[in-house]
Amino acid sequence: MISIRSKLSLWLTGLVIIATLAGLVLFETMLRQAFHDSIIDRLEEDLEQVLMAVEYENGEIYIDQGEISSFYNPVYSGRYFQLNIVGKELRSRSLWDQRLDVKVLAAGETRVWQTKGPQNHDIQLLSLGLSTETLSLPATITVAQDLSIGRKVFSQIYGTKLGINLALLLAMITGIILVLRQSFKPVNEMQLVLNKLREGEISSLEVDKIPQELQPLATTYNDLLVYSSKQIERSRNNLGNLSHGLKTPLAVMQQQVEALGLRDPDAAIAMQKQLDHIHKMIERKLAAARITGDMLPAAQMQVPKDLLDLCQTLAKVHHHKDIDCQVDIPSAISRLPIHREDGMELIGNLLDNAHKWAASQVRVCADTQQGIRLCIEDDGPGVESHELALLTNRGKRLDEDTMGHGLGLSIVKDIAEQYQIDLAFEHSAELGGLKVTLEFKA
Amino acid sequence: MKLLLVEDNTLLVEELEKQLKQAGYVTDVTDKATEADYLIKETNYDCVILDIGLPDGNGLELLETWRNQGINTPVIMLTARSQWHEKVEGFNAGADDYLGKPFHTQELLARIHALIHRAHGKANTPSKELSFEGVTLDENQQSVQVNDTIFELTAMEFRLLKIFLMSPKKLLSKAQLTDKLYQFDDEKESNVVEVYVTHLRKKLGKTAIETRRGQGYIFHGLNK
Repeated sequence: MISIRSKLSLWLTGLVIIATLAGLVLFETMLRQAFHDSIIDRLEEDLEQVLMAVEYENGEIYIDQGEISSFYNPVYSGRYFQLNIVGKELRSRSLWDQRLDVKVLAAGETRVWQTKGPQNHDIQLLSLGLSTETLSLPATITVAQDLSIGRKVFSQIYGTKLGINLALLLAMITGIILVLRQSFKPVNEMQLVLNKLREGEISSLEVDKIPQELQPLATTYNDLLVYSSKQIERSRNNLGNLSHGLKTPLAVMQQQVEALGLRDPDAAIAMQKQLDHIHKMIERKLAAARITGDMLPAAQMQVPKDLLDLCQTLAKVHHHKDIDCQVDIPSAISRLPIHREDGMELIGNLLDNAHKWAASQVRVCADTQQGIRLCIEDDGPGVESHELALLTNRGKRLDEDTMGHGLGLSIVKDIAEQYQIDLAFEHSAELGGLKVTLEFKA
Repeated sequence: MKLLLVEDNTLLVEELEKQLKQAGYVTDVTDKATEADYLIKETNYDCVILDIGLPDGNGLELLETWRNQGINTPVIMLTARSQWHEKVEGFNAGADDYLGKPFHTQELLARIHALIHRAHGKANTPSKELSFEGVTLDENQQSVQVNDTIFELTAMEFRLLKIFLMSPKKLLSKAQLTDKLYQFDDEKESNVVEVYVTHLRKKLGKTAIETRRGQGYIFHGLNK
């Protein structure tokens, strides 16, 4: 779906453009009308003036040049008049050799029109049909004005207006984009925050820093987060308690079976088998059920601290071996995207295995090329190539009983699967033993 | 060798106590953290077997207090909480070993054995033989080999000789020895150490154990 920001940008830009265009069209119409009206007004005044200058003397009609404006004198000055009396035309000097094509009008009739005039310029004309007592003949007086100058002014005004409006339009569009970008900053930030949350850098959304409109969403999200983490923690605890609760009576039974072994070895062996089975089920199935895949930041595995703790613990567990456990983690990595308990179980089992087989050295290293990659290698005898393939093969059921490597692999595999961690087994080029690589999803 | 077993499951304790006794250990048992805290300050135990979930407290917290107070008795955590993060917690609290329930008694005994040997600075010999200057104690058989002769030992003799072999050439007071031979609330017979030292001298020779009047005993083995 198109983003709200793009949608708003498009709509607002469109509206602003339409508004500007409509304004321009309206302005042009009004300006043109005003221009036209002012020219007609002027022509009416001119008509009046020319009429006043018409003299009749000795049966001769003439125009008193002293009475009329000097604009009528220069050739093609742009202002013209013409008096049509049957068979006779009195023209302003400015018309020179040209004549206006005038239709004879009845008395009192007026005509307003445009046509081509001298120099092929557009001219506006106003004609009036005359009738006087002295002059029984019908006469038509016409005044005209060249429109080109006015039009030039008109274009200038309109051009300026257009320029200003376009500039304003650009400014407004820029403004819209800027304002929208600014307004959507919190939304973008929220996306970043959500990413951080998913990667476990923070544990909840800071409601105060979120725009009001999104606050209910953030609050609900936080509540859900708390709720689900509580649920997960509770189920984890319950399963843990169940597992512990089962193991203690199992320990009692184990003791009893051992005591029974002295009296009735056959029965004891049969019972022992069942006990071992129950124990295995608890260790495998219940442990697997406890893996939640939950990656809430507060519960994530801290590195290198947790790894160092594990190494220390393993040094104590394998105290008779004196193994040097190196933890080499870039400072850029401070957490692993896995619940601490699951991570400890996963890496604890792999490290335990490494310690079991190592001659003197175990190494944990990490890099962040694509997501986090953690490797655990030892300088033990390693694993045969064809068995490495079996170990790496994801489809193959990895089972410590059948593999015989003493790897606590089934739980390792369960955890890796739950967290979508890629497990790879290979020869350690540097230490010579087994190298296990864990690739955490980016 | 004296052990403290802190565990609240009576059935488990009952069976375990028998096994530990059979293995030659004197074991004090309690199901309470407060009592364990009292006992460890009163008695010089060689090893403590500690459960985490106790009715009146948490084994890990108890262990941490002990370590903070400078009590360095070897401790094995014996608990159903056997995930790695729990083991890390246990070791961080100061445990020396960690065994998950359910467990095989032999495994526990082996670990106690290893821990006590380690605490006494001995190599962890899986053969379960303890020897010094011609005297070799077979812990499985509870017998002693002197030169080429093997003598069977009574439970008391075995316990006493093991204490001597763990700390040879060291002055051990009568009180220290009595303490290790009896359970905490046993009636302690005042001359028990003299009696069993005499018994041991019959098997090892007179010079093997030296009496320091008013101070205690020193084990020398055969090279005196």
